[in-house]
Amino acid sequence: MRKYGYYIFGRNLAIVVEDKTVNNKFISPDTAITAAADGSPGIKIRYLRSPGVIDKDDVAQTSATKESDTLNVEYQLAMAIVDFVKSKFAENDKDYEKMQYHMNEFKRRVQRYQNKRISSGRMMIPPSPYAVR
Amino acid sequence: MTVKEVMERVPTTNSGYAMAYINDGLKEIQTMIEDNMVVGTLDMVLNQRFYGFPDDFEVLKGVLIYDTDESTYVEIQRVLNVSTDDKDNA
Repeated sequence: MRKYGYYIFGRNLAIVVEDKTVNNKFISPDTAITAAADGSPGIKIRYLRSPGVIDKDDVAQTSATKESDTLNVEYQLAMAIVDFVKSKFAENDKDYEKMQYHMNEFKRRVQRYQNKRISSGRMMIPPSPYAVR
Repeated sequence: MTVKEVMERVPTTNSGYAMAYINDGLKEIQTMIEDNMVVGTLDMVLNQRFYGFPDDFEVLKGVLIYDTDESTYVEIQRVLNVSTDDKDNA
């Protein structure tokens, strides 16, 4: 396979490929790629998205627009959202001490949610070529 | 937990502000943990360099290209200092 690369250009993803004749010169893709076997497209991007909400008809929405919408997150993260909202309202009221307290609580709840899902120990493994031996 | 239940816990009756902050908070969480990973697909078009991100995109975690020789997707690397004029078909 030829050497492909990507970079971010503004709000776009730029795909480039190394020139067939000149090393280290990257050009726009000079072939179209479609995974012909199943007709799926040639580029896949893995990304994180906002969990959004679920409306009263059980349809996922990207953002909350009604009071009846349900946050599409675990209970502990929903409680973190409560702290986030409290923090923002405190900021509106220029109560910066309260704002900071609830923002810290928001971060603590999110981190605790993440840590509790992986209960075992962790081991840092340096990449081999750079390790001091 | 519903938006209304969040508002009761804050507490507030200002639903406009509350929903805006809830949406901000949901986005903020995704910058801190990798809880909502998804895969999107795009067609790679001849001579087209730039591709828009999906509407719900928050954080890019990886890009894969279909290897037609091996019939599998291969992760590609991010490149820096691309020495072209950033135009399609450059």
